[in-house]
Amino acid sequence: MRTRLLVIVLVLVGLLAVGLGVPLALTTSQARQSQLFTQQLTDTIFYASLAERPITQADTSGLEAELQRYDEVYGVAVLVYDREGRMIASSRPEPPALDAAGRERLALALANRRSDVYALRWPWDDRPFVIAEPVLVDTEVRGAAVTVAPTDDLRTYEVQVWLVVLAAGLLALTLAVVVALPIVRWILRPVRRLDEGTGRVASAVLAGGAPDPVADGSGPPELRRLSVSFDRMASTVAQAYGAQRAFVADASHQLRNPLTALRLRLSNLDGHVDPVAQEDQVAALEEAERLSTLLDGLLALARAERTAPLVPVDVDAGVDDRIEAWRPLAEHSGLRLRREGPHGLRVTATAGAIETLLDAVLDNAVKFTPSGGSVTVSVAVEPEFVEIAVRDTGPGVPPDELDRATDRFWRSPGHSSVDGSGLGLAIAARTVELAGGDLTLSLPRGGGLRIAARLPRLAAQREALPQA
Amino acid sequence: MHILLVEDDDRVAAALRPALHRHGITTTRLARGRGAVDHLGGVDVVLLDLGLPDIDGVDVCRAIREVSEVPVIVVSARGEVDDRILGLHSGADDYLVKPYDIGELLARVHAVYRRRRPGPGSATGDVVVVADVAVDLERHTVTVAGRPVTLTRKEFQVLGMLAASRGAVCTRSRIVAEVWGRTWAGANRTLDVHVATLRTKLGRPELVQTVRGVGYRLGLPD
Repeated sequence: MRTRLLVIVLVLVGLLAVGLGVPLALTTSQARQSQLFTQQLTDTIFYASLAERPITQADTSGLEAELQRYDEVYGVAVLVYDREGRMIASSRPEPPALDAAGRERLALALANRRSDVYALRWPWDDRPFVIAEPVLVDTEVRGAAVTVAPTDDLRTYEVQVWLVVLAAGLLALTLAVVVALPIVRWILRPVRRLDEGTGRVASAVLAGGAPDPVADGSGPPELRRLSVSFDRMASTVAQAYGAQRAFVADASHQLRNPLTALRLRLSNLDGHVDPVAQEDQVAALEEAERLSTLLDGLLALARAERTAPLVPVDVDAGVDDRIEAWRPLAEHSGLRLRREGPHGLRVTATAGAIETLLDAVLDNAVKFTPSGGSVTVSVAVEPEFVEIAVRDTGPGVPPDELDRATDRFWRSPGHSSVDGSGLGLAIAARTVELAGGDLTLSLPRGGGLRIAARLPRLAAQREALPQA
Repeated sequence: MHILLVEDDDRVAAALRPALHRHGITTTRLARGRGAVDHLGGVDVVLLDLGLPDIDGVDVCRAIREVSEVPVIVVSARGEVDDRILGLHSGADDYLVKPYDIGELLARVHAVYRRRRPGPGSATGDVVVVADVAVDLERHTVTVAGRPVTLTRKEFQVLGMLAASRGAVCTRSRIVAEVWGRTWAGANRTLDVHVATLRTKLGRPELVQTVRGVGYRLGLPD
């Protein structure tokens, strides 16, 4: 952005410099050339009139001496021709040969016509200026005087003019850069802060804090307003996100008092219930229990969505701990619970993230896998992630439900009667996402369900450990 | 037994008081935390809600602890680990999360009551003997009819806790918290599995009794 703005400024200044400098140089050169031409023309007319007498008297010896002196002083060759175009006097012993344009001018002069002004000579054009003037005797053309002037001085002058213009242009560009840089910086400062701000807002909102304001009162008014609007939007988003989390937590808390009273009232009915209705009382207590489980799940979800700082987490500690905790239950259900993959890996996540993740995933695996099956926890390493996957040999999930399975309150269609809040996988997914990873469900070949969580590998380990 | 019930929710208090009265417990109820320390006379156990409208329940708990040794059970809608730790650090004897079961509440009330006032009947020996089963809490060994039985560490911890309670009910959440150190989705079912294994290994199904909806207790011969 800064480079582009600078380029625009430079192009504009450059165009201005070219637009002003080139005509200036051209005009200056033209003026100098006209001046030289006029001078040479005056001299030519002078020698044309001087040649009247020698031509009429056919004696050019005096004239030649005059011409030689002039040539010695000014370096301009003067030639005099008679009516037939024969040279009759010259300022030099070896008169310069006229080129085609010069001969044309001589012919014009013999026809009593004046030489035109030359078009502007470029510095690399070293042809001399040739001016021919008719020698008139009583308005009759009797010959012509021709001057041949070298253009070296003029061309040197032109080069100097161009150099000065070029230097002035470069100076203008330098000045433009010096002046434009602070301005560009001033304009772009709010933009840069906005750019940095958007990144910070996302993490601040996730962390549950208020994002740092972006606006610092600098920059153009429009961008200042944009910064202020951005800050307002960021704080609104942060508040809305915080309010949503707080609501889930508060609602769960607030529901606990009525639920406590309900359970106590139902218990108080013990012994006062008609045997016929006893079943209903027990069922009602179970419903209260279920509601309680749901509240616990909601609170756990609110906790999972409230970010804690990310810390280095030892994969082995979490995985082994949870495998040992679930082993009795798995074995009791006739399942084999195994661990595969490399050891010694570490990831960055919230403290306890691996435990939370595995509890949610293993709960489902142990609940739904039929006796005789197996549950495998495998650890795999990628360049930037560590994958912790749980694969069971259970009934899996309908393929079109895979994407929805991590939604809150999702229940597998076949298992809506099994205990559970429907929040387990949602909690697992949020926990992994907060750490910067992802959770994916897949149906592996051979049946069952595979739930894989990828957690960012500890930065220090990315280089240290070779690919396993 | 007399309980001081500090609970701001009228409907919870109204539901709880008849339940306690049915079990022979009399109650005094306060809807606010302020002044709770003035009502401690003749109180055996304080049941303190943390979410009070006037002052933080944790402060009430500290104030009570400054003037009295009466057992305090903190009851809260907040069950997070940090809240539990805060409650217990403020001097509470136990921590109960709403919604609770009346059986669990009673078990805890009796437990803290007994802990504060050790009765003459509760032996302090390290070996608990029930019929022909001997549980040595010191050496972590169990013998049935003189023959040693091999238990895993967790299995023994569960049995040891029940044995140390001498027939009082141990709630599921308390057993899980003390044996496993944390609770998780499969905790209750895992506990059930351990108890089932215990019954099988000991060959005495009636030794560990289930208290429906509450927990387990040691089945002492009458």
